[in-house]
Amino acid sequence: MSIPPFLFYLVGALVLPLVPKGAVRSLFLLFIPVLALTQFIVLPFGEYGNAELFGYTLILLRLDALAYAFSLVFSIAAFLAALFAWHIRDTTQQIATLVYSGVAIGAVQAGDLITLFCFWEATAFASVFLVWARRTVGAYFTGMRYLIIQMLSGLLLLAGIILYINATGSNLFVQFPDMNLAAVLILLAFGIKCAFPLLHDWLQDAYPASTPTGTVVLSVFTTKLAVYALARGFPGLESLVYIGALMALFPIFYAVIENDLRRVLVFSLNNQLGFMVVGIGIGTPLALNGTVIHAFCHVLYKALLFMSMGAVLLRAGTTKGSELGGLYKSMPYTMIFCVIGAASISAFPLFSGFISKSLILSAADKQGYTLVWFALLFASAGVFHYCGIKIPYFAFFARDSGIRCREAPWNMLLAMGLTALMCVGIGFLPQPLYNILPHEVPYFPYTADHVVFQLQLLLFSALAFMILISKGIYPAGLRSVNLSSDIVYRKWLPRFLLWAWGGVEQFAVSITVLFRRESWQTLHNIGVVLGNERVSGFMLLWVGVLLVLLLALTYAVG
Amino acid sequence: MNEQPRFLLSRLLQRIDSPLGVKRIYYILLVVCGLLVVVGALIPHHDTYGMGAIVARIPGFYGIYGLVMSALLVIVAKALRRILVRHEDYYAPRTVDSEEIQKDEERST
Repeated sequence: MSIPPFLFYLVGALVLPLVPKGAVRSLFLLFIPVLALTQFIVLPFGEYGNAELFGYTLILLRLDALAYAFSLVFSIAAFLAALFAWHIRDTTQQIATLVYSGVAIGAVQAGDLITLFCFWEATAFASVFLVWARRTVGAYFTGMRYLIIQMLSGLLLLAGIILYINATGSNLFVQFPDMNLAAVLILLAFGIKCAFPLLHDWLQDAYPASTPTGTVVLSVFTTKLAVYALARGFPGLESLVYIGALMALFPIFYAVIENDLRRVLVFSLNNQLGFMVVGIGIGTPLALNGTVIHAFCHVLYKALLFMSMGAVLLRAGTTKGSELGGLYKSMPYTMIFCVIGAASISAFPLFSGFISKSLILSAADKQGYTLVWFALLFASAGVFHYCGIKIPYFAFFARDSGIRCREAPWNMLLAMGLTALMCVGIGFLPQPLYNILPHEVPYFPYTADHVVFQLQLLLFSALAFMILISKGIYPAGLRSVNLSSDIVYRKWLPRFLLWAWGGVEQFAVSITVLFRRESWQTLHNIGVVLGNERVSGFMLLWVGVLLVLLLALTYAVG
Repeated sequence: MNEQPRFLLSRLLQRIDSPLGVKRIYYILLVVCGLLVVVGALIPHHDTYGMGAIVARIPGFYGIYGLVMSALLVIVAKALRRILVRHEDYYAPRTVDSEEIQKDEERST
C-alpha cells in the first residue's frame, strides 16, 4: 500500500501547530520530507491511488522516470530548506513551506489534468504566504501581484483543461497531440509559471521580497514544476526552442545592472529555465534528458546560492551590492559555499552544472540549431560573469563595506554544506544521476576537449571581468530599480484606470444629475457608510445598472 | 585596518586582498588562459557534428568568444541601464526595494 507522498506534507501541516515550538518542531519539519520520500523512492513505476470524481478517474500518484526525477529533487530540496530554516519560529512560514513542498510534489506526481490543476492552484496559494512572511507593506503588495498572476495562470489552465476534456473525453495528462486552443491556453498557463519572456516579471518581483529562508523554498518549486509540466505536455514543440533561447539571453543583461544580489540570482534562475525550455523544445531523448538533469542540478545549486545570500541577508541585513563587500572577513564559510554554488551554476568542470548543461548544448548543435547554440554559449559565458563572479565578488570581496557580522548559524552552514557536497558530488560522479533519466542515452561529459573548451570560455570571461573592473567600466552597485515590462501593470495601467475612472465618474455624475439629483445623493450617502465614498457609491450605481440590465435580459429571453 | 579576522581562511584571504595581490591573480589568469589555448589546439577533438566540430578547429575560439561576448554583455547592459534605471523608491510604497533593512525575528536571534 502506498500513500501519495503529498499527504504526509498536508497532514504534517495540519498537526504542526500542535507540535511544541523549538527543536522538536524543527525536527518534525525535517522528518516529513524523509517520511514522504520513503513512500516512493523504491516504489516500482506505475499508477497508484486512483480515485473517482464525477465520472473522471483521478490519478493521485503516477510514478515514471520524469515524475520520479522531479519528485526526488523536490524532496531533497524540501529537506535541505527545512534544515536551513531550523532556527525559524514563525508558524506561518513553516506551514506554508510544508504545504507548498507537498503540493508541488503532488503536482509532479499527478497523473491527470484535474489533479494537476488542483495542485497548480495550491502551489500559488501556499507560496504567497512566503512572500508575505516578510510582513512589510511592500511585501504585502508584492504578494498580491504575485498571487494575481499565479491565479491567472491557474485560470488559463482551467479553461484549457475544460476545452481539452470536452474535445477528447480524456483527462489524462500526457503529451498534447495538437496545438489547438485548449493546448495554447495550457501552454500559456505553463508559460506564466515558467517565466516565459514578458510573462516573467512576477519572478523578479516576488522572489527577492521574501524572507532569507522563504526565497530558498520559493526558488525550488514553482518554476521547476512548470518545466516538468512543459516536458510532459509539450516535448518537441519547436517554438519552445526560440522562447527558451530568448529566456536564456535577455535576463543576463538585467542581471549585470541589478543591485539586489538576490534579484540577480532570480535573473539567473530565469536564464537557466531558458536552457531547460530549449531542451524541451528540441525534444530529442538527449535534449529531454538534458532538461531533466539540468533541472535537478539547478534546484540544488540555485538553492545553495539563495541560501548563501539568505545567510548574508540575515547577518548583514541586506543583499544590495552597493551596501555589501568584504564579507569574507566575517562569513568565510558562507563565502566558500557561495563560490561552490557559483562554480556549479557556471558549469565549471567537476561541478554539477557542467555535467547537465552540456547535454542541452550538444543536443542543440546536433539538431542544427546553430544560432541557438551560439546564444546558449553566450548565455553560459554570461551566467559566469554576472552570477558566478558578480555574486561572490560584490558580497564577499570588492571594496570593504565595513560590515562586521557573525558567521551564519550552524543550521544554515550545515544546510549549505550538504547542498554544496551534492553539487560537487554530482559533478564528480554524474553516472548515478544519468541512470535515473527518462531516456537511455550514453553521454560522457569529461572528454579532454570539452573540459578545455569550457575552461577557455569561463576563464576568458573572468579575464574580461577583471579588465572591466580595473578599468572602471563595470557598472558599480547603484541603489536603483530597473524598469521592466511590469511597468505596464505597476505604473501605466493603474494610472490609466484612475484617469478613465475620472471620466466615467464625470459622465455618470452628469447623467445622474440629468435625471434626478436626489437619487445620486442617496447612493452617495450609502457609499459614505460603506467606506470609500467615491468608489462604493459608483460601485452601487453600476451594480444597480447591471441588475436592471440583467432583469431586462431575463425577460427578453424568457 | 589592522584588525585580524577570526577565521584562518579570512586571514589567508586578507593577504592577497591588496592591489598587488589582485595584479598577481590577473597575471596568473593570463598565463592559464594562454595555456588553455595551446592545450586546446593540441588535444584531439571528439565533436564530429555541427558547429562544435567547426569551431573546435579554430584555436582559442571558445576563449575569444567568452571574452568578447562577456565584455559586450557588460557594455550593452551598461548602456541599457541609462534608459532603464529609476530611483529605488520608484514603485514605493508598493515594493520592498525602498524599504529599510529587514528587521524580523531572524535579525534578533
